[in-house]
Amino acid sequence: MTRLLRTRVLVIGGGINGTGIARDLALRGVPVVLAERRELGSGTTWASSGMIHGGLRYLQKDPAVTEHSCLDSGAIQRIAPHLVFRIPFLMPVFREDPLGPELVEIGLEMYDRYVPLKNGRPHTRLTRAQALALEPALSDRIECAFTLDEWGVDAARLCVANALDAADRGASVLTHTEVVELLRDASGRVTGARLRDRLRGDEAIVEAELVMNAAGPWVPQVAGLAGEAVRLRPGKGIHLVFERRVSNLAIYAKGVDGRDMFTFPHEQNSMAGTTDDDYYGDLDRIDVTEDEVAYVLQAMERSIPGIREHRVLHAIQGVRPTLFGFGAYEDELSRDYEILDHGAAGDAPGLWSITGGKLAAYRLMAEDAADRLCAALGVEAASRTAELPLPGGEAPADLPALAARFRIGLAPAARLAFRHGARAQGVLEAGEDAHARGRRIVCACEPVLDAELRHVARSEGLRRLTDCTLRVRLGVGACQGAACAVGAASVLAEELGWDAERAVREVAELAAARWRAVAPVLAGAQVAAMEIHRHVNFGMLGLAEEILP
Amino acid sequence: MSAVVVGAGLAGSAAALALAEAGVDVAQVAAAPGATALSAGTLDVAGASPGIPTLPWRDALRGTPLLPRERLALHRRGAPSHPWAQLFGAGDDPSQPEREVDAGVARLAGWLAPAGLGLAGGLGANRLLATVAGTLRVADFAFAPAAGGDLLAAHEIAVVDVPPLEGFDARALARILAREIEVLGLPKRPVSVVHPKLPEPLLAAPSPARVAARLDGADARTVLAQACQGLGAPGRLLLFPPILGIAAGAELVAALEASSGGRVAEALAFPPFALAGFRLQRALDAALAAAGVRRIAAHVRRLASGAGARLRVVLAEEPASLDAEAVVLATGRFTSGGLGADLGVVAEPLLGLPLYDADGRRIDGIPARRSARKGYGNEQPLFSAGVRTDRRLRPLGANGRPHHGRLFAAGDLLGGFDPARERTGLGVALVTGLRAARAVVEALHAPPSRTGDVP
Repeated sequence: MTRLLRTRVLVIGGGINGTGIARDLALRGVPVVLAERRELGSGTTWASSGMIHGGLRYLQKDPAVTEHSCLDSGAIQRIAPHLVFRIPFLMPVFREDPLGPELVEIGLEMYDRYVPLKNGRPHTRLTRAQALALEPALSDRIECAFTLDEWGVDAARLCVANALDAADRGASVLTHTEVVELLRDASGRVTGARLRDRLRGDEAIVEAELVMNAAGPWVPQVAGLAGEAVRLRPGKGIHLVFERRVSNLAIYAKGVDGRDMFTFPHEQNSMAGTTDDDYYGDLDRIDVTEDEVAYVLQAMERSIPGIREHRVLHAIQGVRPTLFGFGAYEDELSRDYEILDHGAAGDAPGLWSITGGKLAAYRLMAEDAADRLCAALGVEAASRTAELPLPGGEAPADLPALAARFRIGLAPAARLAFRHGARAQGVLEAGEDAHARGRRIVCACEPVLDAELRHVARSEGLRRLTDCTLRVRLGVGACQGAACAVGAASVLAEELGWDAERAVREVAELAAARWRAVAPVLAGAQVAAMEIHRHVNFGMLGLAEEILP
Repeated sequence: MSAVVVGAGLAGSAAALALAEAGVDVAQVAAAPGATALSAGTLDVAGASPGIPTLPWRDALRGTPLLPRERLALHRRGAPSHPWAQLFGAGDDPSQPEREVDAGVARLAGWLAPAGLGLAGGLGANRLLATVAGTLRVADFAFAPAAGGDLLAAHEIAVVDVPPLEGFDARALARILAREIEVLGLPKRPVSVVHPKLPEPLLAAPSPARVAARLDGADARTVLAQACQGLGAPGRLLLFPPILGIAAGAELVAALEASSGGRVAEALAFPPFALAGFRLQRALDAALAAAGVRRIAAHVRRLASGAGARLRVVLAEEPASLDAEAVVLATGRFTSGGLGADLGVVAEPLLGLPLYDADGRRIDGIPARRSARKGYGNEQPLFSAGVRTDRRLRPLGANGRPHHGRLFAAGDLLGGFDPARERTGLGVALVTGLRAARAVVEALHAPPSRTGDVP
C-alpha cells in the first residue's frame, strides 16, 4: 500500500542546501519532509573541500560572496564548534609568479578586513627561512610566504547535524528515497511528489504546499519532472586524499594553467585539489580521469616537491551546481546562488529551486530560501539557525573524562566527540552492555567504536554500510575496509535486522565502492593495500561472486 | 656450491631449506618478513575460483563438492600461464601434481614441527573452517591451532568471547556461523557464545597482537585456562579469536584443552588479526636457523654479473654485495615489494623483468591506475601479473629467453595467476620454492657450459 504523507514543504535533496533549508523551516515550526535519493551529503557536499573558507579567490570579482562566506563561517563555528577545525594556510610566492609579494600582500590586507567575521587571524609575511622552518615540505625555491587562516568542517556530518535537528523538531527525513514524479493539480500547480524508497522498493505520496528542489547538480532533472528548465554550468571537481598528513599546514599551489589549488590537512588525512571543468556526463557515475590526477599532482609538486612520494588513498569527485554563465572560464563563473520561484519564472507554481552557492555560506542561503518559502506560506517566524546550536554543538566534550570513564583511548574519544560533540557521552552510555562491546574498536584507521556504529544505526537513520564512509569515515583509511567491513556489517545487521545475505551484499558493495574510489589513483603502497584487500574479500570471505559486475 | 635466496616468505624459505639440505651453502637476504607473515592460517593449493568451472566455496557442500585434488587438476588444465599448468605439463603423469604437493607439505610439516606448529589436511578431503567473521572457508591444508577447527568434525560449536577485543564480535561470529551452516545444508550443529570468567579484561588496550603477546606469559596463560574451566564437552569445539599466544601457542592450546575438556581451535585470521601468518614466519625462521642458512637482513638494490658466471646481489646495507653461483628470487608481489608501483609505474625493481598478466599481456612500465579495470570483481591484470619463466623456473627477459642461466624465481613473483581469487597462494609458494631449489641443484651440478644462455 502506498503511504500518504501531508506536509507544508517537501525538500528534495539531502545535501547541505536541502538539510540546511529543512532545519531552518523546522525551527520556524513549518512541517517538512526531506527526500534524499542516496545518503545525506553524498553528492556535491561530500566532494567539496570541506572548507568553510571565505573565498580569497572570489575577493576580486565577487566580494559579496567573500563577505557572505566569512560571515556565515563565523555562524557555523558558533552553532557547530565540534565539527569545525582551524586550517592555517601558507601561500608561497615564487620568483616566476605573476604577482610579486607586495601585490599579494595588498590582496591579503583586503582579505584581512573580512577575516574577523570568521574568527580568523590576519595574515603574516614570512621570510623564506621562516616558512621553510615552519613547513619543511615546502619547496626551497620559494621567495617568501604568507600565512592566512581558514576553517575546515566535516561536510557530511554537517548535513547529518542539520537533518537530525530538523527531525528533532518534527521533520521527516527520508534517505535512499527518490522522486518518481511531481504531482500537479488541474491548474498546473505542483502539489507534492510520488517518492520511491530505493532500498525497500515501496512508494509514498507526499502532498505539500510547496516543493523546494535542492538537488544540487540534479536540480535540472528534478525541475524537468515539472516541465521546467533550469540552466546550470555544472563544474566537475576532484580531490586527492592522502594517507595521514602531507604537510603541517595547508599550502597553496598553482596549476599549470595558473589556477590556484591547495593541499590541506583535513581530519585524519591531507587532501589536494581541486579542479573545475565543465561536465555534461552522467551525474550518477562521475569518473576521475588520469588527466585530472596528473594535473593536480603536477600543481602540488611545484609547492611540495616530494608530493609524489606520498601515498594517495583515494579520490573524491563531484559536480558543482554552478550558476549558468556563457563565455567565461569555469573559475571565473560566479559562486553566488539563486533561488528560483517556478511560479513567477515559469509555469510550475508551488515549485522552487535553489542553485549555485558555497558550503561556507550554506546557512545564509538556507535562511534566504526559507524566508522566501515562509513568505509564500504566510509564515512569519524568523530564522533561528544562527543562534541555536546544532545537535552536539551545545557544549564542548571533556575528552580525558570521557576516555577515563569508558576506558577507551583518547584517539577514539576525540574522534567520537568531533562527530557528536556534547552527545558523545550519550553515545557511549547507550552502547554499554554486560560484555563491554560498545567500546570495541571496529575500524582502527579512523578509529570508530562499536557504540558509535550502533548509535548512527539506532538514532541517526543510517541505512547502508557504504554510507558509513560518510557518517563515521569508516573504511576510507589505509586498508579501505579490509579490516572493518565485516565487523561493521555485523553490528549493523544486529541493529537493523539484516539477514546474512543482506550483510554479505553490504560488505560486497562497500568493497566495490572503495575500489571505484581507489582505482583512479592507484600507486605505490596503496597497490599493496588493495592486494591485501582482495585477499580478504576474495580469498577469505569468498565475495567474488557477489562483487562480479 | 653457493646460492642466494632473496625473500623470506614461504617460497624463499622452502627453497633455502631444501638447498641447505642438499648441501648447498645458502644465504637468504630479506629486509623484512613478506606476505607469508600476513597469511590467514591456511595453505591452499587450488581453491575454488570463479574463473574455472568449479563450485564456489559457498556451495562446496551442496551437491557433490570437488575435492582439492580435483580442483588442482582443473587448474592444471586451465589457463596456460598458471604456475600449475607451467609446472605440470600435459604430458606428465596425472598423479604427479598430487604427489609433489603431498611430498612438499610433508617436508614443510617436518620443518615446522620443532617450533610446535602443526600442519594438517590433504588433497583428498575438504576441511571447513570458520573465519573470525563467522564465514566459512574451505581449506586444503591448515596450520594449528586453526586446523583443529574443522566444523565437519564438530558436533557443537561454542564461540569464546574475550571482550573487548578490537575487530572481534563473538555474538556476530556465532550468528553468522549458524546461518552459514544452515545455508550450506550441513547437519545441524548448535552454535553458542561462552564467556570465560576472566577476573579482568586481558588488556586495557586490547589489540589482538598485544593480547596474544600477553598470553605467551605463564601468568596470563594460567588465568585464561582457569577461566575456561568446564567450558568444553566431548564433541564441542571451543572456537577462539586468533589470539592464542605467539611463541607458546601449542602449550596454551594444550592447557586450554586440559582445563576446558573440549577441543580448542582459532578462527581463521584476517586483518586486523595476523597472528597465524606471524607464527608461520617465526617457525620458518627457526627452521632456517637450525638448518644453517645464513640470514642477511638487508635491502637488495639490484642484481648484477659477478666474477665468472656468478651472480652478484648488490645490497643497500652491509655486506655491500654477495656473489653466488645461483640466485632464487622469491620476492613476492606488491605487499612484499617484489613488484613495485613507485610513482605509480609498475615494475619489477631488481632487474626490470617484464611482467605479464594472466592473459599474457605486459603490464610493466605502465601506470598502475591505467591497468586497473573498473569493477572490483573483474579480472584485474595488476593482480595476476608477475614474471614469466621457463619450465625450470628461470625468469624470462623481454627477448623471451631466460634472463640468466642460474637465476630462478618462485612464489607469488611468478605471474599468470591471481592468488586472492584462486586461493592458490601458499600452495604455489611451497611447491615452486621446492622446484626452484631442485632446479638450482641441477644447474650447479651441470657443467658450466651447459647452463648456457648467460646474457
